[in-house]
Amino acid sequence: MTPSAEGSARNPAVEARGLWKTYGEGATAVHAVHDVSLAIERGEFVALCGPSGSGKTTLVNLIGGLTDPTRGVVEVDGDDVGAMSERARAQLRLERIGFVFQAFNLLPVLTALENAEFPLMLRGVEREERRKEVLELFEHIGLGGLEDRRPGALSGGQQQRVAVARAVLGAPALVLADEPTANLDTAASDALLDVMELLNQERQVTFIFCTHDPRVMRRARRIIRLVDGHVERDAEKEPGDLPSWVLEPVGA
Amino acid sequence: MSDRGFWVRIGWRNLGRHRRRSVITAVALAWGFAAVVLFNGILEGMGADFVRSGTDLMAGQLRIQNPDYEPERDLWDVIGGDGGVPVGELLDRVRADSDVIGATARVYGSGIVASDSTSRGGLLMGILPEAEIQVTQFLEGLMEGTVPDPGAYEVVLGQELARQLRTSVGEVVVLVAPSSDGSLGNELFTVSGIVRTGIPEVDAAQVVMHLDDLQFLLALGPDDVHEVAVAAANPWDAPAVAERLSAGLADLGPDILIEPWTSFRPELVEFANLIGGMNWIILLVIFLMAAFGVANTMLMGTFERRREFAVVKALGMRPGRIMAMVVGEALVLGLLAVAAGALISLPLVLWLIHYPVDLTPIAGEQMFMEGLFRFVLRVEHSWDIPIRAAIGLVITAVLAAIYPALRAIRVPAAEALAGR
Repeated sequence: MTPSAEGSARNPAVEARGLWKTYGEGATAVHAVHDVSLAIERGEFVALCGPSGSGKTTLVNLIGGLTDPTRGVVEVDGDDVGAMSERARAQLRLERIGFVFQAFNLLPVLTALENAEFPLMLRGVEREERRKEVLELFEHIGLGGLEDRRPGALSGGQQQRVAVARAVLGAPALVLADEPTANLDTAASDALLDVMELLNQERQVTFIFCTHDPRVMRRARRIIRLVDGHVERDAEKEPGDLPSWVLEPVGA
Repeated sequence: MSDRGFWVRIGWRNLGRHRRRSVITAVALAWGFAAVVLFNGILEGMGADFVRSGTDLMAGQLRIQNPDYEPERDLWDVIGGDGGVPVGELLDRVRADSDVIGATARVYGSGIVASDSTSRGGLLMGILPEAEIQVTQFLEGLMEGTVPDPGAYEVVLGQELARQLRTSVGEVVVLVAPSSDGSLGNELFTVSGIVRTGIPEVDAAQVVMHLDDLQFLLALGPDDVHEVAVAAANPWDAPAVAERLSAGLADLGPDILIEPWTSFRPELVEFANLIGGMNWIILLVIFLMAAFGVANTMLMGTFERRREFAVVKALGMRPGRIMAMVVGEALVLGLLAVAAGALISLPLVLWLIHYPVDLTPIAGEQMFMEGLFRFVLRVEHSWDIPIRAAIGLVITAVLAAIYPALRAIRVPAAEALAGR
């Protein structure tokens, strides 16, 4: 199936229906995602929380088409990701999804600028145009002057900002961020979240965070708590609030 | 810089991540390239020398005969049939071809050679000595004496024949031979020289005299010759020269057959093909080893970069592009190896083209396919060999990277990102 943009007007940004992801078989089977159904609208700023092993990363990987569902359907802008070919999924990720990883995952042989412009280059954006976009964003997120540094010569915060730049350049409809602040100090986390919040508000980019970080949850406008691969609680909230239930231990 | 430059840069930098491993692989490939260029060049040189020695000694690179002359070699089957051809004009027209460096006429017969003490069967050959030395080398084997003069009734005998006849230069022998008119020709001849070709059957039977004298002995006219031997500047051009001469001499009638050595010495062609086959085997063996080297390097790189491949997949890189990225690295490696291999091999190749190493003092001379072969380490000048080796090496490197590239495409992104 080829991803189409026309569905974006009427479909949720992300919709999961009866979604399962099971590793192993029989008695040793582990249900990483267990009958998850949810819908996330365009422009939402959503935090997926839950204890380690609760299925947050697996759910994000399913949404991004990095792994196949065992059962159920996951759609991005109305397109069934599980039914797509590898090539179509790659195209979907390239055109509509940005990824931010916990471990930054910049390509070590590329400079900061080359890392950030990489998806734009894959899209075929002209060199001058993509460099202009990258440099503007770099200035905005405090990476001005660091364009020619390789990842090894950048701090963790700087690397994560490059990774965010890489994810949001070209204005994808959806950004999937897996523990983006886990390796950052408070100041770096706040700066990064400021950038993402700005993009969310100005460009209506949908953000889905996997996180344990209360600062991220505080900024989110919706929190989905996963336990044992299942949605235990899904609630909207005001930005700045941190509901007490998100910090409660599982089963409390 | 263009996007193509971007990918080349990525390939270059990725190879630079494990510099020692990449350098070792590139050097191994470069030596493979150098070995192919050198071995193939030397084998081509040997093949060319075999062909030259097989044609230069007696036969020439082309021959002109009456189509019926072979294989019976009847005396009356002369070029042009009854009445023959104007030999001087024929030779002039053959020599006018730009790829011909010499042409000479011959008459053949057989008879009895008798000395004071004994007699032997002899293969009689009438030649034009001055023209013959421009076409073949067998008179270079003249051990003593001189070439026969016209009208002087002189003969040059093969070394073994002279030994068996217990005769020597200056002595007289009697030749008796059946003539073309049915009579038995006989004449006294003075031994003017002794020749050694190195071919036992030739040295034991060859009786060489001037063309005019043998024509007289065999009752042939001055326009009656059995063969015109032709030397071509490049033996491999002989078939083309034969075609040109056939068209150009068509007016001399149907009784003229012009053949290149590839036609009347097919065993030499087979040998040249054998050399070509050996070249391909060497190419295959060396490039197979190179392929394993490249595949190993690229495969290790693929295993080490699983997470990176997962990242680029997550960023939307299509499988074909990932494949191109990995294969591109192998391409950079192959091109580097070709450049290094050229630096290693070309000076040696140029040296052996211009200053062949004569191994005859160690290996001696060998008779091979009716030719005297000298062991000379010589590279045949040819652009085909390095170009073929370079293309082969680059293709090998690229093909060897396909499996690692497929592994890269199949990296399970979610698992690799999770470090599994």
